[in-house]
Amino acid sequence: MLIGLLTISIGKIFDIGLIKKDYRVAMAKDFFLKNKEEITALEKFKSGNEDEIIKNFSKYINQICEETSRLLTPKQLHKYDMDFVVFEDNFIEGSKNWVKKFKDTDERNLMLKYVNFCRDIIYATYHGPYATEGPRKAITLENLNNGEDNEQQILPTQDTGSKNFFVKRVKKYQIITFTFGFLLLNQLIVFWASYLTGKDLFLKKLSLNILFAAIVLPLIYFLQWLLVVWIASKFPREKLKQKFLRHPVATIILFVLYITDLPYRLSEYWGGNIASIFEVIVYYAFISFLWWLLICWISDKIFKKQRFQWNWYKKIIDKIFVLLPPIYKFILGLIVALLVFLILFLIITLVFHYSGSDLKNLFNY
Amino acid sequence: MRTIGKIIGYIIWIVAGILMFIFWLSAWSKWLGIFGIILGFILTPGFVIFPIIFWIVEGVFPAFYFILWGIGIVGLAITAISSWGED
Repeated sequence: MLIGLLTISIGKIFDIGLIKKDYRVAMAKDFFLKNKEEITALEKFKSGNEDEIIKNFSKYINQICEETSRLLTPKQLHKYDMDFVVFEDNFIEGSKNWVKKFKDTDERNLMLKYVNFCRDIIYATYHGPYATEGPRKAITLENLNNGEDNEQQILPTQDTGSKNFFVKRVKKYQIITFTFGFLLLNQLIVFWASYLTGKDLFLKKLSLNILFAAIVLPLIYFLQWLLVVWIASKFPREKLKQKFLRHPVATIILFVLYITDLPYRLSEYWGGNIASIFEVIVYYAFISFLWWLLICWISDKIFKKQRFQWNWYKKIIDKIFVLLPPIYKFILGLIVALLVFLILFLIITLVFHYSGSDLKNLFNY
Repeated sequence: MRTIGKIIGYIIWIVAGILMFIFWLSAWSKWLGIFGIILGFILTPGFVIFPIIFWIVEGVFPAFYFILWGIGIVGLAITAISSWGED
């Protein structure tokens, strides 16, 4: 596993790919020179220098190959053929999947042009023997520009069968539901662990505790989930972004207040585990968000026109809207993973009566 | 949702792998000192037969190693389930 991880990381650091670097750079340079205006018109390449852009485009070819290697049903010479990445048919499918990852329509179209450009060169010379015989068709994506911007918006269109109010919302707001499910589970674990170890007796009678854990706690989290989902439905991504851009002063002030207040809130409420810290951070972020909404609403009533418009602020908001969802998913995933790890370890230890004798022996306790 | 499933699976797998590697290196360092650590890095592919060696040398079954291994496999399973049906 470690060797695999090291190989992937080293490959990325030293820019090693299936196709030689010199060849990739030459292709990237050629494409850049032919489409300079179109490339530099894109937001992400506006500030970059020429060499940097060419380097990025060279790395894109590695990413396409990587995507090709992930195909579920690739064309293979035989069942155990590991060299399937080089086949043109597989390259076409891999590049389609790669292009689909770009959210911006202009960028997607440019990348579609790039994969067609690379394909023509690679299968004319570099991987010539692996080219597909017969008439050549350009790589295209059906409904290329009709894709929605994010996972949360795509999912409801896939779900056509379910009419149930809750099922529809659970499917539409999967990350929100997962977050609340996890936080409820954490609360239940903390509650029962405290009760059973006798550290904290929330309610004196066992029956009342069972009632609290079985009904009151889930109900509280369910109501919170309903509220959050309702607000999320009122503010789709683009609408929210426009609101942030329209109210820079309120955003900055509320953000500073949130950051400065957070350490105090954490010291006051965190329950001693990492999931509780996460809960406090998310909970106060949501409360601050509600205050921000209120201030924005009042501000809208007072000021009819936008007074402040800063370029640096717009850039930060753009970046935050791109970075925040994956960062949030990663942090939540990390916390859940660590908790699952600990629970699995505890279960195995208890089931197999693990005494730790091997560790004691190893570290000479 | 698939992304978060994959993140969880990978993290469990990586943490289990790192702990297994620490266990492996600690054993080699205990048996052969600094040379053992160097050897531990070189002999990484011997991960599979290591528990038998440990059992013979120390006389204790390396249950911790197998627990981590099992957890790592669970992590991989979560990743695989999250990746099912992807384009």
